[in-house]
Amino acid sequence: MQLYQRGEEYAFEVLYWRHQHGVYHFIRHFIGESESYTEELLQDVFMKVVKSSTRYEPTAKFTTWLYQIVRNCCIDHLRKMKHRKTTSLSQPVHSDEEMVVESTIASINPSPEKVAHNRELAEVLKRAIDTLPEEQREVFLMREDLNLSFAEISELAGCPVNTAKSRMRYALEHLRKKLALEEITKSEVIKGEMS
Amino acid sequence: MKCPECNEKLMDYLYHDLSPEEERAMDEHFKSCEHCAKELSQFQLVRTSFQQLKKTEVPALVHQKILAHAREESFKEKRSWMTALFFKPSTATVMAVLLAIGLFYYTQQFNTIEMDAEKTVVKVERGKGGQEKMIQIDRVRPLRSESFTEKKMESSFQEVKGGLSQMEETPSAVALISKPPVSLERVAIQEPPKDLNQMVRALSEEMAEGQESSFPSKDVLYTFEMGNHYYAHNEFEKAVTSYSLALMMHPQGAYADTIRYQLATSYKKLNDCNSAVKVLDEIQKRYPNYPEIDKVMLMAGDCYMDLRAYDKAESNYADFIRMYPDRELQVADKLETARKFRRVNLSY
Repeated sequence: MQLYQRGEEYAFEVLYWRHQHGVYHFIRHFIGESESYTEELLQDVFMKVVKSSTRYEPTAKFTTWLYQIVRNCCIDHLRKMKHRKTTSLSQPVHSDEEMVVESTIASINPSPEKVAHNRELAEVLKRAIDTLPEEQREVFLMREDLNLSFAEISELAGCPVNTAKSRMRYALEHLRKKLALEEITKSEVIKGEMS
Repeated sequence: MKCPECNEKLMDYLYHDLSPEEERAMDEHFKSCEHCAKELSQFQLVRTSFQQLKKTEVPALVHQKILAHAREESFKEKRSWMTALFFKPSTATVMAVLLAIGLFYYTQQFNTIEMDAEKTVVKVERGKGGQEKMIQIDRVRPLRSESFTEKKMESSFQEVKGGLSQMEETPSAVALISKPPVSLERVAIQEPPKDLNQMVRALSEEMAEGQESSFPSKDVLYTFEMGNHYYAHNEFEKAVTSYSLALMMHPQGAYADTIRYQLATSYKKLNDCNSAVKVLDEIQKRYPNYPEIDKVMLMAGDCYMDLRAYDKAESNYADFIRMYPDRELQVADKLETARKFRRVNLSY
């Protein structure tokens, strides 16, 4: 970032390639909406990095600074969407992400049952993440998508480290329950069909 | 260890934040406590399933849009700075006078040499952010002055270039260069901004003379970024050249691990698995803490599979599972396939 501040514009591209993947997934899972919104926000985030680069203080870790921008963009977006309170009815049955999950799993040649099972798990998990309370979803995604430590998460979310850990635990428990619930429902349906 | 303590440390254990001793104590507890072990495995399952959701790549078009906007922004910034400077009448006059003197000096220097080429054609390439590069097209051969080497010529070009880029903003300066010492052919091109072959030549000369690379880190970044540009446009051969060049400049520079990873990915795209595995093995040896080491291991495994070196593929997949036990599901089938093929090969 310091190189970029000194006018080496190529340094920005290095930073971009380094962080784009994690940031993209964080936004995608955090706002839980269509790809076009995710891409728009990703663009907003990196534009803010460019525009506010002069205000970056080398004393702060670059990732902390970047993820603060990411977090603010996502929270602003969610606030805006809350006001609109509209639900998209035109969401495709299989999003691209699910297709990718499917193709990834298929590419390593597991059994068809396993492919189907993994696909279902991923679908359930995606829906379950959307139902997480915002503060838990934030901690879970910061840890999983951005690979941040609990100390870094606590700094960004403005809460003590132990709170971040307990939010993470609640999030995992919530997701685990959702996955288990889905399994139970499925087995009951199968039992019902058998009888 | 008892359940409450295990419970307290479970999150840290899950994300490998514990010391080896604490981790061992937790392992012991899981062996004896079915309840905690079950909880751990369920959390691990959630994490493994989540990894599957992270496979989507950002669309190439989005990359291009963002990077183009970023370039545009920094160009605007530079331009506004230049405008602020040159629109002050006093500054513009002083600059114009200074540059006129500079140009006159260089004109004199050029006039002392007789050249067999009637005119020297120099191409000015405009790179990103308005930077310019002059490339000599016709060869210039001095007839009398033996001391006037090509190297000097090149440095003169560089200085003239510096003057030109500064003068461009003022009309008077444009008038001054209407009779330049050399005829100029302006070529406005978007990409690529630098002549790779020229850089390779310069670097080879330095290496032949046993000098240490004098390329500044900005050139490494520049070349790396060019590699990324070619990669994004599916020109993998050119990407390989750019990445290799960036590594030649600073083999142990700040981004050497990332550049090597990109180089290996480009080789893989070209189906040159032999070269890819060499680079991947080097990354694993030199940079065990590289943030994308998981991808490196997986790619090495895949390349070895393509090369039918099943034992090595197996060892890469097994290492991956050892390092990332919670992501076992991701490679379990690959590992099994590698093992199966290795056994079949052995039986032949």
